[in-house]
Amino acid sequence: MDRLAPLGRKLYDTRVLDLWERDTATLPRALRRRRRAYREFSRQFLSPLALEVDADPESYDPWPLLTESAKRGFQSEQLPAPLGTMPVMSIPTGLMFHTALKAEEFSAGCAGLGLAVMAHDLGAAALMLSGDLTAIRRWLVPLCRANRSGNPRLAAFAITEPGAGSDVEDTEGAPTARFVTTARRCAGGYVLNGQKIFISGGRHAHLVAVFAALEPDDGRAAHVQDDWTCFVVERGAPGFRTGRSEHKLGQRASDATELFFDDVFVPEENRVGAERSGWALNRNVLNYSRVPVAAIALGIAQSALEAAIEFTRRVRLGGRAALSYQEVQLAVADMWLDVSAMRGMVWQAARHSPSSQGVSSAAKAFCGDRAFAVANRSMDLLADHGSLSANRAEKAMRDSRLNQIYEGTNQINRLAVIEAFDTTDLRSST
Amino acid sequence: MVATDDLALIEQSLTRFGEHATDTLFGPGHDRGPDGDLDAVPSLLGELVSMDLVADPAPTGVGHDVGVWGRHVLDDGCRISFVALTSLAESCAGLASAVHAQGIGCLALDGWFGTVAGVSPGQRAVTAAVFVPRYGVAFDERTLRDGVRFVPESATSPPCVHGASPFVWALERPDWLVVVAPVDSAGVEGDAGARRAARSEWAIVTVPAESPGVHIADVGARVGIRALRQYEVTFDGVPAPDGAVVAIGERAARIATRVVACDWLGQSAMAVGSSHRAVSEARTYTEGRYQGGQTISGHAAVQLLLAEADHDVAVMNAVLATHADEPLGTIRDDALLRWAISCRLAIGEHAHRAVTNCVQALGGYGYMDDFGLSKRLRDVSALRSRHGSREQLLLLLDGLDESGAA
Ligand SMILES: Cc1cc2nc3c(=O)[nH]c(=O)nc-3n(C[C@H](O)[C@H](O)[C@H](O)COP(=O)(O)OP(=O)(O)OC[C@H]3O[C@@H](n4cnc5c(N)ncnc54)[C@H](O)[C@@H]3O)c2cc1C
Repeated sequence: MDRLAPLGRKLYDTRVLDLWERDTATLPRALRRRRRAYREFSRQFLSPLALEVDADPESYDPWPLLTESAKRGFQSEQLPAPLGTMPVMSIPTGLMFHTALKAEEFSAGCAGLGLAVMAHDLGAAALMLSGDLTAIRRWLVPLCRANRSGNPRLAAFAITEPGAGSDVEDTEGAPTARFVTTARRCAGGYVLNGQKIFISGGRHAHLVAVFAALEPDDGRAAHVQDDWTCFVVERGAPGFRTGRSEHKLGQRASDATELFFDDVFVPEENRVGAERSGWALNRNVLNYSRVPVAAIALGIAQSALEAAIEFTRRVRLGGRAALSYQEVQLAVADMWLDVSAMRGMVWQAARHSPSSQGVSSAAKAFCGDRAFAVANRSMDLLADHGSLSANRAEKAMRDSRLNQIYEGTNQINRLAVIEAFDTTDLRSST
Repeated sequence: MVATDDLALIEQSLTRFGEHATDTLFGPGHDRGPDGDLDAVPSLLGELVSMDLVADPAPTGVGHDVGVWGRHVLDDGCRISFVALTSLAESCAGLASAVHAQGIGCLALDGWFGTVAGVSPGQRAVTAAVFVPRYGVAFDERTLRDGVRFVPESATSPPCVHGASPFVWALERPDWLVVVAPVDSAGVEGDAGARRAARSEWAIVTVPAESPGVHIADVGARVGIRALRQYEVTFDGVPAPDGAVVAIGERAARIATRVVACDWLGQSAMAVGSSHRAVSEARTYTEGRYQGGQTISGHAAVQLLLAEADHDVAVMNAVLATHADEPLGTIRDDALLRWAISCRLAIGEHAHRAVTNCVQALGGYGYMDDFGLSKRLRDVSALRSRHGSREQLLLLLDGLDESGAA
């Protein structure tokens, strides 16, 4: 080092910084600050609860955590200050980067608790991305105001139905979707009937952005892509009830709940956007939300990597730390490479504003697959210890498995990449 | 080699038992958690005992010879044990693992049976083999001083067992512990670099579970195969008098090789069962689920998942069949280990992929406990984690004699 010319020395990075700090240092100032705040919150509130809540999610009361998150401004970032808590300085980088960093850090602490806190962002995204200023004023502004004051008020996003999962995530499937949730016009509003399933945060949400097929006026059969309309349904609305919350493999601290609509009256002003604009809004929300979902995968992979490093430094083999052996170092390095590649992809996707289908879906599918691979590698490296819950690698395996399924399966997301690029790159190259 | 008719008969009765076990553990009307009705496991194991499928440490017990990993494997090969474990794992890999664990404990006894305090003649004794080092694989010289070891008599102390193994599998809380451990002697310690030397100095010692100095604790929450009991066992200088030593030296090393190899082979057989059933469950589901205007079994994306899973099960079956019909007693140690390691590696590479593909074919429903595939994924993950990381297994494989010579 000393032998380098002075200019060469300046170009040589000698700072003793861990990778997390190095990565953080590359971000604009407002994001740097936010990333630190997310990590601190995750370490203080999510990580310590992770195993306990995973083991017994039914007895967990999420409100203290939600209140803490709201107090810190993490539940009201959809709108800039003074309405919400998104720093004005951050407007140029957009909301997406914040949400992605939050998803990464929270999920590194506990993906289930992270999702319990962040399901709200998905519900709120439907309001925000509608571009419908009336709906934003009516719903999003009060939500942000309540959350800012430390009084958590939550939204959820409901598209999936028992017979329509991939079909409501995919352009090809939409025309033949077997949906049951419908809306009929009536005096002063609409009447909703039907059912949604697997709704994250559905058990506790104060309001749900529900997508329902509005009965066509001309007697033709309703279709998702032509007739879907988004409505806000508030908790307590007569005829609206929640059903069971699923028992699932991972991300167990977050509920996936059934919603039932039996002749629910929804006033006109609860409609989000224009009639029959729901499909476009849904696509917009998915393009946006798939980046944070990729970031959730990244956070889980990071936790699996940390579990492997922590374990192999602690466990002794032949009188030395396991991590001092080459075969262990190679395995840990592989995981590290994967996590770094995922972070590069997520952060790059987060820079796309507004979000775009091909980029978001590619990040979602890639990170979901790699997170599961990293978590499995971590489990494998811990050998028998990997199967013990206390070591967290098995939790990462179970949690990351969901990232290949929700927000559209990774198969559907791969098809979405091709669909998106078919209108751009693929077309221009032929 | 087992007669085809006998095998068919065993398969038939196992299929019948499997249906009944599935109904008992997972059927309606049972108090089921994600692992089924675990309270029903003891009675199902009792039924398997009466079918003579559970190995018995006492030479007078029928299971001693014909049970899973009973002494018949020395002459007939592993086929029957594979068939039994595969079939049981189709219903529940945890139940199969319990039967497997008892068999491995008996295999480690190598026909020896002494008198154990607290076990009256004719009473079924539960044996657990203790052979997994704290971290790493047996026969890796680095693990020799990290796990349980047999300390031979010295001028100052009688022979004893020392150390801890956090991963002892058992059918129930064991009556016997069969310690399969390296001998803690200067010769082994100083023999750095000679990997094979690590396999020559072994001892097999029986210890009644209630002996002073033996501590048995539950390992706590774990990913899968929860119908099986898993303990951390610590030996605090537990005396091992002459009468308790089943074998020492070369013979013990052979038994140790057999025990470790059959443990991996059994896990593979169970992984085959679990993944095979996962594929058939996923196929049934995909034929009834509509998305994209047709049953999802019609989409290439789903076909690829299930075809790959089919292929994975076929590969697993093929690897497992390599020496399945050769009398275990005639397979040379290195060849046995090579085979077992390949089978064990195949769980991670093939069985795990098969099951995760099946989960994917069900979409969100695959992730939910109700559909059973999430349990299969947890189970196969636990089997894949047993005794050694991928890298450690590969290094052990690299050190084996390729010709199969001992
Ligand atoms: C824990 C959890 C939380 C969730 N949270 C929410 C939420 O908050 N809000 C919400 O609305 N939804 C939510 N979902 C729903 C989720 O997005 C769907 O589960 C997912 O889109 C898959 O749909 P599906 O489960 O119906 O599977 P299916 O669509 O039935 O898919 C089954 C299989 O068929 C394949 N397949 C289906 N159609 C095609 C096709 N056309 N071409 C090729 N292959 C195809 C799929 O790739 C998959 O392998 C959640 C799901 C889970 C599991």
